[in-house]
Amino acid sequence: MNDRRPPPRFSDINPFPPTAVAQVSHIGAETVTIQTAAIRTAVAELQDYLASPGAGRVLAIVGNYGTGKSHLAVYLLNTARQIAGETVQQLFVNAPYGNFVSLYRAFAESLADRRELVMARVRHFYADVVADSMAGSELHAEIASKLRAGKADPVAVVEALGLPESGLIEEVQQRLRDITENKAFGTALTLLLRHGFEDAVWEWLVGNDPAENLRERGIVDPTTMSERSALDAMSVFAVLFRGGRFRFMVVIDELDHLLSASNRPHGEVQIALKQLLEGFLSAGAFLVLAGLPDFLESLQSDVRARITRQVTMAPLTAQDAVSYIRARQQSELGADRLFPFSEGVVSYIVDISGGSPRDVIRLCYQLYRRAADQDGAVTDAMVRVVARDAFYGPNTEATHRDIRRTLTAHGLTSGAKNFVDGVPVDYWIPIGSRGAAITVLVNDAVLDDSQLTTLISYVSRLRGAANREVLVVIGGYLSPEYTDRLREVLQRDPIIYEKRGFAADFDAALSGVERRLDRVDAADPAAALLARLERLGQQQSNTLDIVLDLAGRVESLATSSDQRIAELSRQFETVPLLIGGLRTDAGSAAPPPAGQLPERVTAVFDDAINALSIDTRLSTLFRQMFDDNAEAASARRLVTATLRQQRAHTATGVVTLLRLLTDSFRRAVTDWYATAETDEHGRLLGKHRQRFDAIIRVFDTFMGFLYVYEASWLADQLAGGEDARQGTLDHSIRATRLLQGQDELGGLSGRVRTEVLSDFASDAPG
Amino acid sequence: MTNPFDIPGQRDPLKPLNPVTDAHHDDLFIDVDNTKQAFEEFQSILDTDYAFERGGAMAIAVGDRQFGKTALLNRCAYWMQREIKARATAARKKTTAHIIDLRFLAGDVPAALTAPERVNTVCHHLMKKLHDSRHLAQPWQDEGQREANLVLPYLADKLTRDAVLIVMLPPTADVIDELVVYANLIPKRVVMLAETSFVGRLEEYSARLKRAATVPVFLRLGVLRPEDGEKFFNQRRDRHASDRSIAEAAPEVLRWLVTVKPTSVGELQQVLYGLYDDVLRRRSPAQQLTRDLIADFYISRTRFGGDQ
Repeated sequence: MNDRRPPPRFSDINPFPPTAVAQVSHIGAETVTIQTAAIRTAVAELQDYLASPGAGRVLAIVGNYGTGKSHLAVYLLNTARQIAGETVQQLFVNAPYGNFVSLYRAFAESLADRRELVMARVRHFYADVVADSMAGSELHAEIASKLRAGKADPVAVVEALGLPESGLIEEVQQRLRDITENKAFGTALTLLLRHGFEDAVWEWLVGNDPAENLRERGIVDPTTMSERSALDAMSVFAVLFRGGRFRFMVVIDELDHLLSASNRPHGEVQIALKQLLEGFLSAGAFLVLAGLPDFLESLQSDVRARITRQVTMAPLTAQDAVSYIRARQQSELGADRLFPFSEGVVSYIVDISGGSPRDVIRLCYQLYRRAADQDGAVTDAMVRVVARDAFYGPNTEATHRDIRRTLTAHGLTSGAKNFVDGVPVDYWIPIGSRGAAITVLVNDAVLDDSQLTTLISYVSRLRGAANREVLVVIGGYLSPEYTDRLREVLQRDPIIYEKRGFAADFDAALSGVERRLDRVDAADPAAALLARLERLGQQQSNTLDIVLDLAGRVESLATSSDQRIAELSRQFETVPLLIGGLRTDAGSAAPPPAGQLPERVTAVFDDAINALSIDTRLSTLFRQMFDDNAEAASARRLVTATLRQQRAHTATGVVTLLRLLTDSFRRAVTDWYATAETDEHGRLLGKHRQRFDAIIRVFDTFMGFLYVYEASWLADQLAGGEDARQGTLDHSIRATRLLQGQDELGGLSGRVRTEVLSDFASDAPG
Repeated sequence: MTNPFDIPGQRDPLKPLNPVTDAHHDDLFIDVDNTKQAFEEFQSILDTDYAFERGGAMAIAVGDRQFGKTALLNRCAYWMQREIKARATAARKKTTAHIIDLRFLAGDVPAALTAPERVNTVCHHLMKKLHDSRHLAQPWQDEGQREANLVLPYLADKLTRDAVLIVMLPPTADVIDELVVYANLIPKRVVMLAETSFVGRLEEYSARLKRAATVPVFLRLGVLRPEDGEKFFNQRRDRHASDRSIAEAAPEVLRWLVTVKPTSVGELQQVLYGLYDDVLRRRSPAQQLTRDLIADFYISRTRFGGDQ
């Protein structure tokens, strides 16, 4: 743009966030949102809603992993608050795995955290009833209008004027029953107006069995009796929040946990879902449903028809990414510039990340750091290295684990890495007796033409033999163009590794080629049958191993439960010591001076420290190794498997460095907090605020040097022994846990900053 | 000038009248709304020849808050105690009625407790009171006993020979199962006086109450009739007939006051007492109780939620 500008300098601060997983509490005014078409559409829908009283909206946000669905949902919540202030009541619910009963529980629990919202609505009904009882009285006209406007407390008015309270409350109950069309809810909500029922009512609302004093009042079934009743209960809340000067906004994120093409709800649930959406619409509420695209496909068309607008998260364009990088550097460093990136590099980043915002952001973070280390601009080569090493790398482990699992389940065995016709193959799986075989090639992301050419030449060579099948697994990104070119030689789709669903994809592909090779082999039916039987036997013995092992575990559980309880309590005693020991300098058990920090901040630190819980797991394993029982053997196996890898040693170092860095960071924040001064409005003084920002910056800088995912990898590795036999479902849980651990640490400074600053008055705007 | 709505001998003029503790109050009852009829219905308990030898008795005052339930029951208890004494004297008997007031328990038996918990707590305190005031022929042994149905039915045999009990129960919760329990367990020589403000709920229970071992008498109280305002005012005013400084009511103002919206006797007492209290405090007291004066009073009393 301008050749005479001064040479750009790198900042100590990395302007990009290390992880990009949206969380409600972490998205603030400073978060940069890329204004894509999808976001503009959604915001327009929201603005229209807020401007026009009455009708509600159901907005569906669909998109693949990392395309910014949650970010958009949270952005909408923030935007609504900016426009409408306190008059919009908001609730954010992460859909759990399970069914609508679990969703209702999550919903009700978020609501239970904000009981005042429900209480305010019930009081609103009470105020209306009291005002109605004064209808026509010129003496009471003023107080009645104050009650209706929410400016007078009905409880206080009834008390002060000596009004007939019981009849009024009976009337509230009747009205709540009428509008919710649910007798139990009418009764329960009314009880909130009576002294001493709050806890019992909330216990029931969040899905527990009703207490005796609620049963006496006709509330006999839990709200979570069925999916139907749970959905009905959610509708009740939408109706409860109808009217008045408030708008009700609910985000249900990750709806694909409940709804997917393979998990299609049955008829009755579809009807309840339809009623739920209708309930929100007629209640004038704004409901946001976010999830993977196939959650929509699981809905019947009449349910889908209730969605008033659908937004599909499109991949980022290169131009979007350029704007993001500029905006981010502007907000973090105060310089609106693209350097160290160039337009060409950005378009390459967008290309290899498939335009996924999460992936783009992660790459930007890593690339910025690398460019700063090398004191030069980001190059295409750098992008390739970073993408492979730091980004796709960790997935390979999980890929291999899934492949091995699937092979075991099929009763197939594989030789280790082999060269076949001069091609290095990862798995060589003989089928039958005539030399037929399946070969599996596992590759990282294929990022450029030369990698693709090599892969294609391998596949062609392997496919030279008629009785050989080739499966190609790609551990990272593969552009659509490359996918097409690979398909041509492979005669089938390459299998892309994704955290969820890979095992199922691989399983299906394996079954397909297995059947084909069986047919080839069937030229000699007897031999084919023999081979099949052998495989069946292998499969059975694998299953038997698992059953026997499980039986052994159950038995040892039953016979030694007392010992185990003692063991558990010992472990619990050890945990605080381990954590405490790392917090203090000389390993003394004295608690750190954390008492001076607000509890919320302390909790943020504790969560980060505990996120990986590697010490506990490792020390338990080490202790078990020396025992004399079945667990000792499996502990030894797991430790051997882990320590044999040099990566484990590096990872342990990373864990230690993370600990020490976090510990010093905590100490610095604590010391700063003790001396921080405020003005008479409780706002931080400028120099103290600057000092705080400097502490955060130092932490972020050094955090940037640490390979957090190595620690996560170790945690995952160690967790492996616990649940290696529990199949693929478990794998996805573990992947989630792994990500959470990384986020916990990656987002630490952000959360500390939010929590600490929330303790001080903010600068009054304008 | 005196406030004609002050209650002599009672610090809080908004508390229910109670001739049991202050016999002067017996003259202050005014026949407004349904109180006279309710009182007469209560008196019928003694007219039938129960005499408490064959069974117990129960009366339930029904009406919302401030409708005068507590005062009515106080009046009933006072009357009954004296009536029993008069009849005993005439028949040369020593029968004596003791009033056991358990309404102080209202805070100990909150609505959030279940009905059995409430009944058992009340019953426990009843026994303790009887023991302490020596109305039991034998000392009460089983202090740990908390189950009402293991105690109440046998109470008559444990009372001193000539004792009759008038038990005043704490107000019910919105769940009024406890009334059914009492109605089924009341022994002879015991009268229970209960009150509930949950008029709507009582209807749901009426069938069960009518089938109970002791069928209760319902004393229903409602809002004031249009003429009640003036009647109430005049009777209170007439007690200070010679005091010329007391402001008179403008014509029709009291009828207007009690019909502007449904009004209870408690509300009326509260407003009139407050009004005269207000009038008294002024530097130049008003000479007449007018609509404007009342409206001003309401505005000053209903400044809830600020913007004064």
